[in-house]
Formats: sequence, C-alpha cells, structure tokens
Amino acid sequence: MSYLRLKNARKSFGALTVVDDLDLNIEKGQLITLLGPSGCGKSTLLRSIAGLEFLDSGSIILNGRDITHARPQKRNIAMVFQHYALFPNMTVADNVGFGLKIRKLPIESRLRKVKEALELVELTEFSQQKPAFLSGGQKQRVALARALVMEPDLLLLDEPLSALDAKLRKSLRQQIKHIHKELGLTTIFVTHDQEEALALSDKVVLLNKGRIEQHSTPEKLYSQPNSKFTAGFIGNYNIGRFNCLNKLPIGQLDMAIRPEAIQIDSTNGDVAGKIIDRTLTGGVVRYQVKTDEGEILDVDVLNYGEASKLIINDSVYLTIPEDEVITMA
Amino acid sequence: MSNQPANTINSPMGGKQRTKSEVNKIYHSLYILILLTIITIPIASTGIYAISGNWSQSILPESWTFQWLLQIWTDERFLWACFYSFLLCISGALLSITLIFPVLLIVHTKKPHWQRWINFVLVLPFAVPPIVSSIGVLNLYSDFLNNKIGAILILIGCYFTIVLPFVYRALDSNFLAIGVKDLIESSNLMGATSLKTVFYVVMPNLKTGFIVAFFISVSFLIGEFVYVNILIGGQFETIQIYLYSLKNLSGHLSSAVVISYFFILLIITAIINMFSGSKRRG
Repeated sequence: MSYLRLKNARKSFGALTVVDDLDLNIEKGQLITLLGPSGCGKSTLLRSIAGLEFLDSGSIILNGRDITHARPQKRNIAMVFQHYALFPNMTVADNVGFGLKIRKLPIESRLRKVKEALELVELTEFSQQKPAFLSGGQKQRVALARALVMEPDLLLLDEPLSALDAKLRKSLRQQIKHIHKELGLTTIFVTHDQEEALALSDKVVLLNKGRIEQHSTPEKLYSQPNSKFTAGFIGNYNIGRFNCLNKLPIGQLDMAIRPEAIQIDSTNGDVAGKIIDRTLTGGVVRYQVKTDEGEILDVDVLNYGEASKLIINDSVYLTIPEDEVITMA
Repeated sequence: MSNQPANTINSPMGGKQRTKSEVNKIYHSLYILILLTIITIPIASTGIYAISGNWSQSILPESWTFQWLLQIWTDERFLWACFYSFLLCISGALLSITLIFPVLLIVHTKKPHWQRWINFVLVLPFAVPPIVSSIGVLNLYSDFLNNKIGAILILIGCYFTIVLPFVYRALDSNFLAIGVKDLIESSNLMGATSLKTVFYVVMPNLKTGFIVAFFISVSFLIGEFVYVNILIGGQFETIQIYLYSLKNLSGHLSSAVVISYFFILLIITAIINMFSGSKRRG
C-alpha cells in the first residue's frame, strides 16, 4: 500500500473546481514534484494535504492513517512556504526550535536538535540572528531547517525557490536534493518550473485544470509526453501536423518533435528550409527554420562545431529520426 | 574644453569643487530643516509663551517665568481634567485596538472579502460630522449620560468610532507587512494552537502597529472637543474643556496647558517605547 494516498480528491472554490476527482499514490521516501501552470491546482492540492484547506470530497491516507479531516496540528506534516514565513520576532534558533517548544521537548534535546538542523543547512553561525538580517537563500534554508527539525511524516515544499535569484535557486535545489537523499524523507515539491521538476524529482506529477495529465519519471515525462498539453508544457516541443514529414507514415497526425532531436546541416537532410531566427541561450543555439512547405520548426544544437555557426537566411536541411517523432492523441 | 568630471560642480565662489551627490545632500538637509522649522515653530512659540513674562514690544519675551506652569500644575481642576482626558483617550484607544485586532485577524486569514465592507464602514466617521452624531448619541443614551460612569462609557464608545479608521489602517498595514496568513499557517503546522499562535507569533510582530495605532488615537482624541463638550460638558472637565474655560482668562495659562499635555504625551511615548523593547538595528 502506498505511503500517501489521495482518493477521489475534489476541491472547489465557488463554481471553480480546482482539484477535480484526483487520485494520487506516493511511495515512502520519494521526492515527488507537482508541476503545472498557474491555477492548475497544485498549491491547493498541497495545502489540502497539509490541512490548510479541506477537501470537499475524497480522502487522504498518510502512512495508513486517514488524515482527511485532521487539523494541521495533528498531521505531523511540515511545510516550507514560498515566502519563508519565518517569525520576524524570533532568532534563527528560536524559529527552528519553535515547533519543538510547542511539543514541550526538554530544553537539552531541543537545543541539540536545533543545532543539528542548522548544521544540516549550514547556518550554525547565524543561529542568533533575526530573519531580517538574512539573505533570501539563508531565510529559505532556515525555513527548511525548521521543517526538518520536526521529523515530519511528510515534507511539503510550496515553490520554495521561486523568490530566489537564478544562482541561489540552483544551489538551494542541489541542497534540497542532497538533504532528501541523506534523510530519505517523503517529500512533495510544488513548482511551475519544469527544469526544477526534472532536476529534482523521483517522479513528476503534471497537473492541468485540477487533474493529473501525466504521472511518471522525469525521463519518461520529457521523452514520452502522453498529450499535447504535456508536450507543450515540458521542453520546447515542436507540436502540430507537419506536412514536411509526409514521407513518414505518421505525417498526417498531430505530432511532437523535440528540437534537439532534429539534425540540421547545410548540405544534407530530408527537409529543406531556411533559417529565419537564431538565438543563443548559452550552451545551446536555437534556430527557427522555415521549411519549403512553410512550416516553422525549432531546432536546438550545442553551441559547438559547424552546426552552431549557421546564420539567418542560410539554406539548410533537416533530418528528423522517425523514432523521435511522437504522435499525439 | 574642461577635463572636469561630469558629476562635479564648480562652486560659484571659486572654492572647492563639490560632487553632485554632495550638493544633493545639502539640498536634502536644507529641505528637512525648513520642514522641521515649520513644524516646530507653533510648538516652540507656545512653549516660549508658556514661560514668558512680559511679551509685547519685542521679538523675544522681555522676561521669563514659570508662574503659569506652576499655576496650572497646582490647580486641582487641571489635574482632574488631565486624569479624565487620559482615562477617556487611553480607554478609547485600547478599546479600539482590542476590538479591531480580531476583526483584522479574521479579514487577513479567513474572510478577505470583508475588506470592501469594512472600507465603507471606515469612511462613516468622516461622513457624519461629530456635531450631528453627538446629538444623536445624546438623544439615544440620555439616560446613561446622567451619571458619570455612564457618560464615560458612552464617550469611550464614541471615541472608538472616531479613531476606528486610524487604528484599522495602522494595524492593517502591519498585518500586510508581516504576511500574517503564512505565519499563522506555518505556526499551526508546527503544532501551535490558534491561541498560542496569536500570543507567540502574531502579537509580538504587531508591536509597531499597536504602538502607532495607540499613539495616533490618543493624540487625536486628546484634542477632541465636540463630543466631550456636548455629551458630558456639565459633569466633569477634560483638558479641552479646561482649556476652553481659560480662553478669556490668560493666553499664558492656555499655552502652559497645551505645552503640558504635549510633554505628557511625549513622556508616555518614551515610556512605551522603552517597555516595548523595540531595538531598531541598521
């Protein structure tokens, strides 16, 4: 039996159904990401698991215990908020130890646990600082320590990296991954950033309009999207009916092709076209190619070698491996 | 062509060159100085008049004396007026804060849509002139107003309505600044009950809002005259009624009264700041 089970979960706000008859099973120790666009219901789902919202119908079973109607205090679930939610009147150590104080843990054991948690997030030297004197990244690490010190049955992370700059985001992402590996805590991570989801998770749950669109490993989600929505949300798939692929037996169906799966060459290939745009994104060069049939395809190549040196208006040929073309329902 | 950097300005006197930021700093300081002077002049003049003897033919007083201050501080009527004024103002302010705090807690956590109705209610004290509402209150509560306790209670109730918008806005800004919903939810997830959350988390972080709301209310109410004169004018005196009774007696005494309650307020502010333990660090 799964560690966390959501069965027929439904939640509406007025006429708007945010979580729609959703079933979800999560195994113990997994790091799951709830991914989806704004308004898809991922945060509401997370808040319902935490007990900050209550489902209209359906059930939530955590570690064999029905917590559907339990108050947040009784769930032993910890949560890290997008905007940290640190208590400004308390020092870092007091913030981390707050939950333990509420649990009336003896002071020695409380101090030891706080120290361990701060060591885990590498913030021991800031223990007597107030949150106002910390950077965004440090604040979020305190929030993480505060959640971990409670030794929760489930850790929820609600877009914890959204308020940070790109560099900090990557570094904290690695730290979360490392801590999860070390503690083996069952974790649900909410994000709208597909790169974050793919980099962190054991499984990704892609949500759309309150329903699960696809629930699979990051690899499978990226390479085998099961719907147009998934293909459109994950990566930068070329989606549509491409007449230029008529030679392929699937030419008349809706299809999705990853831009990095298409090979581009100035002399040889199956589909002729012309470069109409070139964008450098660091390690990757993205070309927009207009085929002779008038269709536009994105093509990614590594920013290295001959293929990366093509310029706008160059005539090119594209080769699209048949097994890389995904047909869509 | 000059090699002078773009951000330096030649002094018109041919002296030392100043950078633009230095010049701006001078302008900013000058502006603040002018503003402070404008604000301080009435208080300083009142203060000077309260300790002046003869002052008729020169810019500054011809003689100085503490006679007026001594006179009012030894007048039992003034001391009682101070007592009643502060009793009414502090009670009105505390009542407002006590009643508005839970409303704000609900608005910010559970019922954000109440905000638009509350915004409407907050305009009402400004929409109805005190002279009109005080006569309404007089008619409605005439039985209670016949005894001192009843009159004080009714007046505190009226004061609540006057300071409602100020207290609400002061606390509301503080609620918004600390992100109270996240704090409460986070505290609840750590096992704290709502009551513990309010005492350990919410109230300590609203200290600034409480202090601001309290002082705005007290400062505003201490100058209130219409309600107090119409509702309890004949029963006991507040500072404003006492001040009114001095209007034909002596300008020096009136100044001594005003400067006295100004300093009382200053002392209360200092004491509360001291006890609130707010350490403002850079």
